[in-house]
Amino acid sequence: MATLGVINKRYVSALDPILDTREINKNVADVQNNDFFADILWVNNKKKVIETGQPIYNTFYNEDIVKVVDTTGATVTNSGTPLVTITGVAAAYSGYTQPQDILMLVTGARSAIVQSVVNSSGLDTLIVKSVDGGNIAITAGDVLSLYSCAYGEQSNAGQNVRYGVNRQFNKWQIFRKTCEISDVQKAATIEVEFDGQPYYTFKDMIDKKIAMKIAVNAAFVGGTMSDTTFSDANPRLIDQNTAFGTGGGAVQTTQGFNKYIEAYGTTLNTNGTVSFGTFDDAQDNLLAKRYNGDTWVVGSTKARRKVDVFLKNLGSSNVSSVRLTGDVSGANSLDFIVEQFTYGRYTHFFITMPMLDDKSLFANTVIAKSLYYLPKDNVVKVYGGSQEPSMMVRYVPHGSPFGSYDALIGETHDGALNPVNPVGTQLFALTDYFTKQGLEWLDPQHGVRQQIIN
Amino acid sequence: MLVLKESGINAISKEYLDSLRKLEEGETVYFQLLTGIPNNDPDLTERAKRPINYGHVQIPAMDTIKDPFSKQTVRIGVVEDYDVRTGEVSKYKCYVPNQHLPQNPGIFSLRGGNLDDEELFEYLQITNYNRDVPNRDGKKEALFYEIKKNENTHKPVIVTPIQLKKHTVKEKDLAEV
Repeated sequence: MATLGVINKRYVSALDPILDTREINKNVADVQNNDFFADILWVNNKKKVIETGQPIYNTFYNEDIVKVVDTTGATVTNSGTPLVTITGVAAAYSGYTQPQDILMLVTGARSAIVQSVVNSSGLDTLIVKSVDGGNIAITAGDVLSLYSCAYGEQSNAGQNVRYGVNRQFNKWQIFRKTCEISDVQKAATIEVEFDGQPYYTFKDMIDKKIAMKIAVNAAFVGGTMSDTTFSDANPRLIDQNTAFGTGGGAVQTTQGFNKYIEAYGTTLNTNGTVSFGTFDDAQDNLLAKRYNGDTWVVGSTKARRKVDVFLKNLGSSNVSSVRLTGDVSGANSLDFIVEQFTYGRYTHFFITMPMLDDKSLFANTVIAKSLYYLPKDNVVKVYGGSQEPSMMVRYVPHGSPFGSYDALIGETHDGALNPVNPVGTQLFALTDYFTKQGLEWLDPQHGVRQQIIN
Repeated sequence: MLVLKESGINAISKEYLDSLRKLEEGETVYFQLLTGIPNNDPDLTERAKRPINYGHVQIPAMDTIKDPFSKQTVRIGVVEDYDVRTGEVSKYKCYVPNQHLPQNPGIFSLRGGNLDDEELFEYLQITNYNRDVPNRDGKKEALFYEIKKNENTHKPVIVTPIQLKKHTVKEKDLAEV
């Protein structure tokens, strides 16, 4: 009905509730930063992928050539004389000992030559004689290195020692993320835009790409290997997903570098303090595993801060010049970050890994509270003199006509409205991203995890 | 354990100290680590050979406990270096059992007559990292327990259930580790 009066806002808004436009910023803020915090830097851009076929992939590593005689649990008689008998040494720690081997004694760093080795019921009895005629002292519990050997004139060959290899393995894991949208919502525009497109389906696809990145990277960091393998006759882990089928397949999971270290490397705990002793302990244990390269020290921001504070607070006159780094132009900024630290045998290169800062993924676990000492440049020496990447990604080619060209991530499509591969008559579009990947680490023995936050 | 009066390190009550066992000359005590990772090898023969993989793990030689007699909170530890004026510790022992062995068998031992071992044994009896310490701080992960002498057998703890007959270790087997 027409009326007399000014056309003002109140009048127009009252005509019909949807006559007014809405003021909405088309850009949606990404406050969660999930993409950034999903990053594991591969570990510092040294990613190498290697194709695989079987559910389990194996690596072999050599055993220590320098052997020791561990006298823990043994009985030592005649210690303090030139001829000492060690009885009851576990054969596992002396089975390779043979006459003419030379032992380095803990007490006095003196040498003793092995005279005889007799095995009985899995336990060895060793008779050792001082080489200089002096008295030698051995205490049960001493660890004696077989550091050398000495043979006589016109001697016969000694017994052959067989140095073996040990095996370690991991399993790959199937990761999947699904995008599904109905015909109605697929056509409907929305007020905001994602990647310049006013459709919700674009947000879904961006989210799923990040979700997949999180799932894979988080497994490479914190994953635990399953006991179930695809080849198990009676798998314990069974796929319970029945959203689009019956499920029921065996499920296997990959082991991340954290569990690799727990199983094969060294885990340390400083109980919340950082000092030179922290690095002493880490280096002593790297040496105990015969690691001879430099290291990356990877950690969360929280963990790195403790190291930065310690190093920047050093009072020694030799390091006072690096306590604070001022902006040359006006000293209006201060840099407390330590990127590199050379001490003892090693140079440590510090790296903050975004994933370890994520507030949800590992924040409450030892993973985010620790520094990881990993082989620098991600390389390990292999027999023959060359080097291989220390950590690699094993993958199974996706085998789908749709997906990434590098065969890592495949796609399956469903629904009559699927833009890539329309299927069936039901009006929806479904895209499922899948990948089959697992971590492989050739030398986890060289990894150290050091918890520095309680 | 070295008592540092200035800082209160290891200042547990006399009653608690007296209740601790002392390692006798030549006596060996064994401990089982609880830090193993189950061997998930699908080959059961391989699994049986080594049901659990033990990496090398540090047992922190510093801790904070509640003295059951004085009811006081006490900082304890195996001290390696300290400031003589303040009694503050600058370095605790870094104890990684079986560090000298390429593969950790999961069992470690201490022997009487070795002063380092005797001191460590005192500490291990009261630290929260020992599974069997009464009223231990449950926030801290138990890392080991002592294999009692009067037990003929003990079963290594398998961290997660695996479909495998449990491996039983007998006293005579301990000599091989």
